[in-house]
Amino acid sequence: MNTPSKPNRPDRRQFLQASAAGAVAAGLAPSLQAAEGPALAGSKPNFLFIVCDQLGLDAIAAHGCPDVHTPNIDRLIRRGVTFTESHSTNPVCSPARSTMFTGRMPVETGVISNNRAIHPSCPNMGQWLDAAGYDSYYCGKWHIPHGYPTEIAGFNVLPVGAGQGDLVDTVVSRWSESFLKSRNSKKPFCFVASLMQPHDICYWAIQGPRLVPEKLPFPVLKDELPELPPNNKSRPAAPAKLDGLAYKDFTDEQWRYYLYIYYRQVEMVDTDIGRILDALEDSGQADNTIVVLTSDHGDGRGRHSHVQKWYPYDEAVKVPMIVSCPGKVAEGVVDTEHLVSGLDILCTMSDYAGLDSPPHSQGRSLRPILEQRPPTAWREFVASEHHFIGRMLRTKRYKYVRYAGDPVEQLFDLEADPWEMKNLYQEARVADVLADHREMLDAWLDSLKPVEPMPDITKRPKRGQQT
Amino acid sequence: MRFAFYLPRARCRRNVRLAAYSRLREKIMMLDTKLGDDFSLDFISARLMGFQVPEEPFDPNGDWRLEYGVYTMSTTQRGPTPGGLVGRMSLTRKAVGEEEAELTLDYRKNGPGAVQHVAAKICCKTDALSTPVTWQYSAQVVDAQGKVYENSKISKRGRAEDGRVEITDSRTPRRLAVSGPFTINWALWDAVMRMPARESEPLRFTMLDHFDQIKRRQTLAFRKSPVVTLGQRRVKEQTWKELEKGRIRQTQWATVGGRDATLHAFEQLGEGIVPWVYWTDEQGRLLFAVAGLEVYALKTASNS
Repeated sequence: MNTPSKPNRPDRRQFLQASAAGAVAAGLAPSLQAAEGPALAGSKPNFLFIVCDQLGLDAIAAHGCPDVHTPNIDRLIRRGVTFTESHSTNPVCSPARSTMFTGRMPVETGVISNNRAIHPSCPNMGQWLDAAGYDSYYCGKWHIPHGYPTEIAGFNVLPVGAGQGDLVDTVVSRWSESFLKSRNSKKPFCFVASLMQPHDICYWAIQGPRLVPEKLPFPVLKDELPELPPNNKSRPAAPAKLDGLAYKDFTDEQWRYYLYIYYRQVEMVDTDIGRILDALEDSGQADNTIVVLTSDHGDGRGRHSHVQKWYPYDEAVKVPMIVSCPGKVAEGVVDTEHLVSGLDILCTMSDYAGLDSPPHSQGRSLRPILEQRPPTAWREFVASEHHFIGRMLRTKRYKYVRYAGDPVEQLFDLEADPWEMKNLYQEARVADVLADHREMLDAWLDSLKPVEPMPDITKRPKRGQQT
Repeated sequence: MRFAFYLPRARCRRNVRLAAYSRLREKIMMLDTKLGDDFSLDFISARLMGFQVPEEPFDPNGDWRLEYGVYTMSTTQRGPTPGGLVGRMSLTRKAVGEEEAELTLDYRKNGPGAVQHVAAKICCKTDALSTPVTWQYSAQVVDAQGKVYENSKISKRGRAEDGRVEITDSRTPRRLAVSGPFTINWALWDAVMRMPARESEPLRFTMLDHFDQIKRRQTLAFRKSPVVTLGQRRVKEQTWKELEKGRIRQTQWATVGGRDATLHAFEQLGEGIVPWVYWTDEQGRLLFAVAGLEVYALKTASNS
């Protein structure tokens, strides 16, 4: 019998030494030790972390989408807490994932764009939970930097092979099923099932008319196509780098067919999630397993004439964050109050595992909210990074966006304008709001500890540049 | 069949170059290859270069074995084999009396470090949907040396009776309510081959996805019967162009050979799937199945 490999497992001490001496100087090490003692003595929950790719927050039936059937995500929502103000820290695969697995912003993990590895100073989820006695397993898409590696530090990797979501996700869900049903160990586990759908939609955008022909390829679908979003043609004033990304090649019918395909791909991932949730129930471990479901980013879905992601608009930035565990997490709660992001995932797991959050993480444990104990105070905003130089700040009511070196900023009042169609940044009546948001963003940026970006493995190093 | 995963670095680099070259060639082919007026065939035209429609007689109602290459049409995550070939699938049919047949599935999907192997038997009716009666299924993942990965193996049995489906493995049985006609996605391949190639009401059914997850509101319908030229080859033609000072060599690609064949297209639409287009030849033999980026192309076919 072959055992999945778990390479390169530096201990926590090495991390604390590597992640800037300041971490230890700031007194983190003693608090970690203090946290480990009592927690190790008690029973710890398992973690089942389900990661989707390109799944927007409102592309789920239980979140109000009329064009899709997602019975399995819906049942997870019914049995747990879903956050409707959940944001990606960078709506691009690798950067967003680097945050989920470290609790740090992409500029701090060195993963500022796709195909970069996590900076060695940042422990990943598997490495961090190792100290609390967890066995960590990874099955599916990783993409930090390689898509489907056979080794990931801190994790036992269950390799799944080649292909996009259509060919790989069933392997992931099937292996997740067999793992959950056959694992025989008393140690708590952290199992990551990283599914790829509905990311396949990228190819419907990349291939354009080859996959989305001008003439509807399946005429029988004509009356079944989803309606266009109200902001399909909306192009609010935007920084140049953002404004140039509009997709202008589709007719209205092509957009609607594109949406049809996207929602079928959402249903595909829902099926695989169903297989995994069924397996967890059948395994008898559901009562002691905290299920977390999220996505790295959403998809344009024709809003603001966008396909794909990359933008600070809600269609790309807002992602599901659903947590469930019968008896441990409140059931049927739709949290519209708290601003959360991928930063909070590892911090929440750490809390349940009896660990402190990773060094320098600005994430928060969601545990008080999940257990319906009001947290003492919650953050005022969440932040997101874009195209290396763009930054977004989201407060309860407003969204503020700024790109370095570009005079155009964006300010949206999401209460009055939920489809983000009117950029208010030049309106005098919100001058104070704008000033406040600029100040908050400056303070946020000052609080981060950026590292030198890690190399992009798909690009050749420049002559003389060290690799 | 065995796939090589761990290659020496020099061979890896060569394979990367070969893969890049193969992608470029495909792109060139895609640009100027048009197969009829169907977008699904156009999209996979690069896979169809040199494809020969089998000439042997074929009876979809008899005993047969069909073997397919499994391809991804994406430009990334294509695995170690050039041309986007990510696996192989074979389906065997054996008639059991007049009203039932046994389908045997062998599916292997390869990739770096692992081959997923699925083996299944479906005992089904010979009705329009090849409605499954009982089935057994096992899946496992093996490494490059053929060793089974720990905790990767699973086996299940299923049976359908009076609108109820029961699936059992070593754990608790799971009962699913299935109202109306239903089938399993792999049994549908048998159904398509026996479906008449003429306009009629679409079949409406519920589908069990990979033997255990329900996908509702499925339809399968005949769509059209175009004549398509298959079996063409790409050839490189080089000519010299004389210039005032010296001459330059010009390379052009041309398409030669091939023969016309009438194909039948059947379309499956429904929840949880991107549209599938099944292409059969005039005898009902399933040649290609295309579902977005996921493509199956017939390698060998035999009646026994």
